[in-house]
Amino acid sequence: MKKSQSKKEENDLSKTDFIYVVSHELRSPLATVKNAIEILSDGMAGEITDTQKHLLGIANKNINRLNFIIEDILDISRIDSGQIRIEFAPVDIKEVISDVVISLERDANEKGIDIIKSLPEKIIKVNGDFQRLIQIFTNIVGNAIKFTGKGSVTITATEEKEYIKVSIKDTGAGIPPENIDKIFDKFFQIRESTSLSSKGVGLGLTITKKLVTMHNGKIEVESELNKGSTFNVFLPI
Amino acid sequence: MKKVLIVDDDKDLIETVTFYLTYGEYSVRIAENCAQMFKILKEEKPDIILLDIMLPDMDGITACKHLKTDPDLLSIPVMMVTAKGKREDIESAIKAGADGYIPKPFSLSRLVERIEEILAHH
Repeated sequence: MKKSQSKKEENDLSKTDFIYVVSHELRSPLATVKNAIEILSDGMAGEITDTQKHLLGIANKNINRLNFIIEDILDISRIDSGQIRIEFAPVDIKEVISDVVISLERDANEKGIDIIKSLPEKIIKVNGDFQRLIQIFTNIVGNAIKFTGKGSVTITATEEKEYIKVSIKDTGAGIPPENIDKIFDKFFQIRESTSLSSKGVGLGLTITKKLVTMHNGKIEVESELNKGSTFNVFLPI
Repeated sequence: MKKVLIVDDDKDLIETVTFYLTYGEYSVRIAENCAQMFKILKEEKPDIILLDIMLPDMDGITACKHLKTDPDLLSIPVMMVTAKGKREDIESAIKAGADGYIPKPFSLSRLVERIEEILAHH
């Protein structure tokens, strides 16, 4: 028993080192490429043509995409190896939603999608970790915008017994019934999705579900094809 | 013109950072390890030192402690370049007397912002 315990600790430690090395060794060269692109795009190394600027924009966009993927892989590895801890404190869920909406408003505006907040006047406190809650709702609301061609994303919050229920309802593509059980699986993506601008590798909802569970909450989804989806997040008060 | 001493062993990073800083209002000196840094500091005093946490001959934290206990050098602000997501790096940097830190990777504009913040408080 003792032996296997120390073996496990050893494995966890090497996993921690692995994550650290991956994070450092992948992020640093990417940052340097990004910096070189920034210098060139700003015209600091000489004037550039519109075509050159456009191509540098493509390079930059794809560096950002790689960065998102690395962050997601690191997050899931950190969660799986127990390196992410939830720092519980009373959090006003309205503040979380407001911050998330501000950060995603531009994406929504670009697609002509309205984000509607339907929240009660009073402060709604949950017991959670502010930064992680931001991450949870950025993922869900971000997905809703990504998979909605036109229409709106509506966010509501209601009190239900010992939980606060936050619902994110979109008027998007919906999830095919055969896929609804798989959407929280690692690396699952709806391939036939019309959105090619996808910035991840199919880890967003896996991370989201794990973070919700770590909050002692739960997440459920209802969906109708071509009508839209609703994600319900239940968080303990 | 403010003088920045960059202590890092990543040559490509040094080149992009140097390009950006010298394009702006800074002059730059470079040390690729701590031995070079201490040698340069005998010749001239920069306005700020940008010190990486992982260096080939001595870790940045130990180097920072040396800087902050040397009466000739302790007044030079030190900004530690820490690894993103490593809280213990930041704690050790502050304990070692660093005047600020920036997690790596950073954008060039963010780096200049941090340098200006530290110089303004000095």
